Amino acid sequence: MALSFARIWNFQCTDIVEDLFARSRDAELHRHEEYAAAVAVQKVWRGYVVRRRMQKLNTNATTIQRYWRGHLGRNFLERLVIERNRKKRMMHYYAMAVRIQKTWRGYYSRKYKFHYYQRKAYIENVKEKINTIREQLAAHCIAQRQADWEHRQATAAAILDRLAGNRHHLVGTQHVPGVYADDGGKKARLSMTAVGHATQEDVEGGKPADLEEYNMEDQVQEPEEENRSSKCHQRQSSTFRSSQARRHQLLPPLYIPEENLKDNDALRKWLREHVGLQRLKGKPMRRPVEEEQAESQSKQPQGPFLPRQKLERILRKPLRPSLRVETDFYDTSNAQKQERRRREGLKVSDKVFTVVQRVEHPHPDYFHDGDPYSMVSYGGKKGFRGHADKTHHGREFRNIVRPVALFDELANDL
Amino acid sequence: MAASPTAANTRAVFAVFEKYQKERLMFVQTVADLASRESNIDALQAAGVMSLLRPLLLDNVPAIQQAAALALGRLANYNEEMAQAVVDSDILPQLVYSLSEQNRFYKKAAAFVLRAVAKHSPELAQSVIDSGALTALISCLEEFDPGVKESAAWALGYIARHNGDLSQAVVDAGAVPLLVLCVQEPELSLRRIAASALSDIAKHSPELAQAVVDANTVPIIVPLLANPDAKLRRQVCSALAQIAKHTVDLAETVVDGEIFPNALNCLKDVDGYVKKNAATLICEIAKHTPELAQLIVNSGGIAAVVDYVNETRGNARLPGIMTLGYVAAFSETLALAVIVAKGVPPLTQALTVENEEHIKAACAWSLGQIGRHSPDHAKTLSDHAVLPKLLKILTSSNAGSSPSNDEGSSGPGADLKTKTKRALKCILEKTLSIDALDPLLQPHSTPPNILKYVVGQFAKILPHDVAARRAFVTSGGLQRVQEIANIYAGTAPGVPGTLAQQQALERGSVTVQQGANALTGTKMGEYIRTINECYPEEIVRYYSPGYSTTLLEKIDEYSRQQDFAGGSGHIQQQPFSRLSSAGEQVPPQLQPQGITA
Repeated sequence: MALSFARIWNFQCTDIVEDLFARSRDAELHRHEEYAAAVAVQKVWRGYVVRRRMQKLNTNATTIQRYWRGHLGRNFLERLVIERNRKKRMMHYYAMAVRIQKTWRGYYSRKYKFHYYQRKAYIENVKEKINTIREQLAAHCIAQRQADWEHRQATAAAILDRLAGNRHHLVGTQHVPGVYADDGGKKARLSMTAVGHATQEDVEGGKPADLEEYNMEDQVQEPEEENRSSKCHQRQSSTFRSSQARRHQLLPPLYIPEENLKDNDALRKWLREHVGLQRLKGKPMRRPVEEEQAESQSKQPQGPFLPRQKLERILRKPLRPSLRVETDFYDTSNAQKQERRRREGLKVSDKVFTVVQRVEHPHPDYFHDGDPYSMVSYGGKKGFRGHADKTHHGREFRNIVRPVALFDELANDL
Repeated sequence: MAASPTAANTRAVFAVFEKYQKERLMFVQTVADLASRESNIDALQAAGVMSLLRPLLLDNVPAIQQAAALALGRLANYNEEMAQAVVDSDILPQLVYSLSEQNRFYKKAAAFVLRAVAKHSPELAQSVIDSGALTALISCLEEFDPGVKESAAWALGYIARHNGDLSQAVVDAGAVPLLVLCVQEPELSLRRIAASALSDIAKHSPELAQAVVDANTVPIIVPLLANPDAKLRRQVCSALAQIAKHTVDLAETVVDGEIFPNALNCLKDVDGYVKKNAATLICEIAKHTPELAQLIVNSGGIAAVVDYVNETRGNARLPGIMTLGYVAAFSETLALAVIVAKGVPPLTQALTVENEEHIKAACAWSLGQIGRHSPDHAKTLSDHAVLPKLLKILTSSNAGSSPSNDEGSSGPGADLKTKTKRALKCILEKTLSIDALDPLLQPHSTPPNILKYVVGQFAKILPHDVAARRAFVTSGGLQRVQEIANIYAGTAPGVPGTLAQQQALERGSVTVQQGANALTGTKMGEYIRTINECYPEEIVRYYSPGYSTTLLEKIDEYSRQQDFAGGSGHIQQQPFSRLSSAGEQVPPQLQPQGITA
């Protein structure tokens, strides 16, 4: 180490100066080159640095711009999307509003203004109903015509029957005056019936004008009605004759079969009324006067105490029109009706009198058995309850008389 | 020994009295018989029958009394004069007194006299009431005998039928409940008469009808609509109609009584009067409200009514026709129901076939009511050729009654004319089919008051329908419109766009310049203008009457102009030239017109 140091130290002075000068020369000689090299180096370096910086600045600017523009774009897009969504929403709202309005307006106008399909359905219903009602009416019409025709037939048959009845000699002879009948009496009687007929006809004839007009078709029935109403009257009156004449004008001449003349309702009726069924069977004829006399001779009970059958027989006794007593009834049933009314007028009470075997009392133990003076158990269920319930007792005490067994026995005997 | 001469004396005396009684009876019966023939009445009156009958009314033999009453009734029944004579001879109080005393035959005869007197006039009926007959008649209604009740009800009905006051008097006397009881009796004739009396009472005013309804009449008489007796059905239908006709409430009461299937059956009855009264009933119900009309339609009544109109002839048709009109008037749907029920053909048939004017008027009215709702309805009517028929009636009645109409507007056809015109107007205003309108567009046969509506309809259709415009031209309608414009504008036509107007302007008449002529300002002018605006001017000109003469004039002018041009050598240009009429100076050159032949 020391050696190396010494050598270095030895050579020190010379080498260093030489070296110094050599180096200075070299330096002087290559100064421009060095300078140029330095410039070149610096140029490159500086260029590189500046470029690198510019590069960096550019990159930064681009970055900034990129981010900004991205930001702007995103904002724009966002607004766009919002707007578009809003539009879509509004479109939806509008569509929904339209749907609501459509429905409501449709409903409203269908309800309050006009409903096409409802009307169509209604008209269809009406059509159907019209068809059914037409069918019904046609059926009704046919049925009514049928009934009308039948009625006419029946009426015509009845007329024929009655004519047949009139033709029978038995019925016919009732009008023939007896040998001893005096002439004036007959006249008076006939004219009386004429009055009856005339009254009837007048009531029938004086119809209001509008009723009259359709009478053409009824004319066949009219005389028949007249006759029916005066069936028990004498039939030889002038009115009847004229009505018959009218009928003969309207109707063709009748052919009445023989069997109809022999047996028909009118004849049967006449027989029933004037001859009686029993007499047909051959029972001996008895004058009613004799019957009454016979009844009066045996002392029968009177009034309501008569046996029921007898009572009924009296009440339903057929009417015997007489020439002496002036009566104002036509026939048996009317006379009976009048008689019934008269009887009802005479009645004291409305209650029906019935004869019963045994009287039922609501409280059988009310009447004391045996001794009338024995004690009564008051306060019991059916006895006295003091004076509080006066109405009740009043009702019960009305029948204080005991039921008399006599009536029951009498009823048994009857 | 002494007894026999006394008995003989008694017998002799009795014989005299008996003879006298017989003679009286014979006299009074003969009078009654004579009184039944009209030809004898004058002679009887001349013989002083009234004064002879009066004491016989007070005879002590009931038969004589009855016969006297009967004779009196027949006399009074004959005419008003005789009835007045009965009233004047103070017979009524006797009758009324004996109404409550005597037997039922006499009551019947007495009620007959009262009825015969009351039937003639309100005054006579009033005099019957004044004699105190009402209470007596009403006590007769409480009688057992149906014949007495019947004649009493009949007399009451005749009293009530004259006017509201008399009817009110009958109601005040308490007749209605008893009449309602009578309707429930078994005797048919009594029921008929009682129903008829109720009808007579109810027909005058709503109050009286209400009084009848208050007696619970409706539920009792409605079932009788199905009664086998036709005359009873008649009266029941009539009573229900008289009740229903007054107010809505009463009509509803009637309907609530469930009249429906039966009332419709009555429309098909064998009896003509039942039919007519049932139709009146339906009509009276239908006229009140749309609801009631709809009820009738819903129950199928409309078909029954249409069938009724189809089947009947003459006056009986009227209620059916009116029913159809009333129903159709209420709403479009109901009118459609009438159409569906085939209601139009019978109405049309009645319109042409029937002779009486009021029926025709009713038909026209009903048809108008059917057609006025919508174009569909109007189309149906025009399919049935209703319009020409209505027009025919209108024009024929015009021809028939216009001379009398000049003297007074109440000519025979005045009502029919107005009804027909209104119906035509209603239908025309809804008609939108060219085919239906075209036959009516006749300038000469159609009267102007109808033409107005026809042209108006075209003015409504043409601006909106291109195909119709073409059809309108090819069918010659446009030409007829121009003719109409020409006819009704007279000498001073004012419808713009027509040749006539231009010619008039040419002539420079003062009226045109003032705008005053027959068509300016009128609806017809408006309509024609609207129609003309739908077409090019050339077409309008071409179809204007007198266009050919104009063309010929043009030819003349042209040749003259050629001559003039050749003579003078220079052509004078004028900014505007007009068609010339004969008196004016010839313009040198013809301005080219819109259409060139």
